[in-house]
Amino acid sequence: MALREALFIYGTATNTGKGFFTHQDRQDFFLQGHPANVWVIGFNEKGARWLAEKNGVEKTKTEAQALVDAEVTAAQTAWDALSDEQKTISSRPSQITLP
Amino acid sequence: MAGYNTIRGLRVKYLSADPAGAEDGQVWYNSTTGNLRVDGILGTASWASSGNMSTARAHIGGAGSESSGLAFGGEGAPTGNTNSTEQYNGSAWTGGGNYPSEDESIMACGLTESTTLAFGGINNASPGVRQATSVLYNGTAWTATNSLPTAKRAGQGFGVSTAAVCMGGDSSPTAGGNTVEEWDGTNWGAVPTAPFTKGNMGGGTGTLTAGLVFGGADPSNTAATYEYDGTNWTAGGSMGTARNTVNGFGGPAGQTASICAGGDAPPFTAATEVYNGTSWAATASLATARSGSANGIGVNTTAGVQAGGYTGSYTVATEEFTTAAATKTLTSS
Repeated sequence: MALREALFIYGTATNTGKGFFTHQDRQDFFLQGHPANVWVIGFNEKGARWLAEKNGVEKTKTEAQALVDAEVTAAQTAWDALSDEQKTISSRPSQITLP
Repeated sequence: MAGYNTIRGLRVKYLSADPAGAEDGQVWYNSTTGNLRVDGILGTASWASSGNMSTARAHIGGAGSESSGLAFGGEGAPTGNTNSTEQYNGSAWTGGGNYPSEDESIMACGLTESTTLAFGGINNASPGVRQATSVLYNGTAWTATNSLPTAKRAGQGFGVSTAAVCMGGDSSPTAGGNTVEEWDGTNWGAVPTAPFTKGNMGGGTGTLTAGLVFGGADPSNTAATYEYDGTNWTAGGSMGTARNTVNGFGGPAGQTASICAGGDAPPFTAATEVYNGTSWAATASLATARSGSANGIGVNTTAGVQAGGYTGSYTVATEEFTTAAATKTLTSS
């Protein structure tokens, strides 16, 4: 396992709303949400427990990145099909590199 | 110099432990730890998840507070713009009266869901038609008021439902926005233009005579902040991250206390910054970077809402911002 990967847990989990992550969770571990319900979680006991409690599915970093890439690529394709005027309203979604 | 006894009418208590239920500003001496303690000092800020919206969308109109918020209009897949209105009670969203038309990039102001003034926007046609519409929400339904003198979208709205400002925005795809209109509770009137342009949904907070606008695009993404006194615009401190389609909130005291969260830098950002009247400082980031969330739900810098937006897909996710009060030890530094 690469050193970088050891700092984070990667997984997918559906955000169910209130209580999905709490203010205390944000103090207890790193948490970053991405397209395709991908979450990057600080690799500590509380972070690991959070993903398990949310019925999350752990992924490798490569798998998680692929999920994000697929959604961003689809979003870019959709943006490319917009009219020139619509393109002035929002910028083309950027590629996301997971930490 | 007045002592604590003179200010509060009480002596500093000598206690063996921190008291339960201490009041904001209460001071005591903890004899066990040997520390002078005070309660009600602002503690750590953070974003936590809250109830999901019903309709996934971005470029959403927003107003109100963390316990009485409103989100309306916006664009979403697969049908394009929506006229859906949703009301937030601090933990969940419920459906409200539909917005009069399917518009996005609507500007707004108001301290509660039932005192929201919304104006401008752009409809779902191709090419989109900018709107001069101005409407009031009473907690149940929208009622038309007198219109803006110029149809425009994505400017900055601030103030309250009886005295508001619409700054910037664009009246055509290429027009930079420096027009300013003021609302007196009955009519919108054009006032002298601002000495800068600003559009694409920057943040707007404060009042008609003490306003603040920040972020947006001029037409490039900008970090610039300007203060308004009802007549003149003056430059404030710039944000750390230039971005458009932000969520800016702060309420009536916004000129000296505002939050800017999320936006499109690009890429979409989770960055959150807080303004103190002079400069912006970084505070806790959103969990999920996004742009085009409902703009302006929050009436101070200790509690606000980030609802919906675009992360690469339209989202229903909501996050709530809180800066919790805490008990701190007083030190000489």
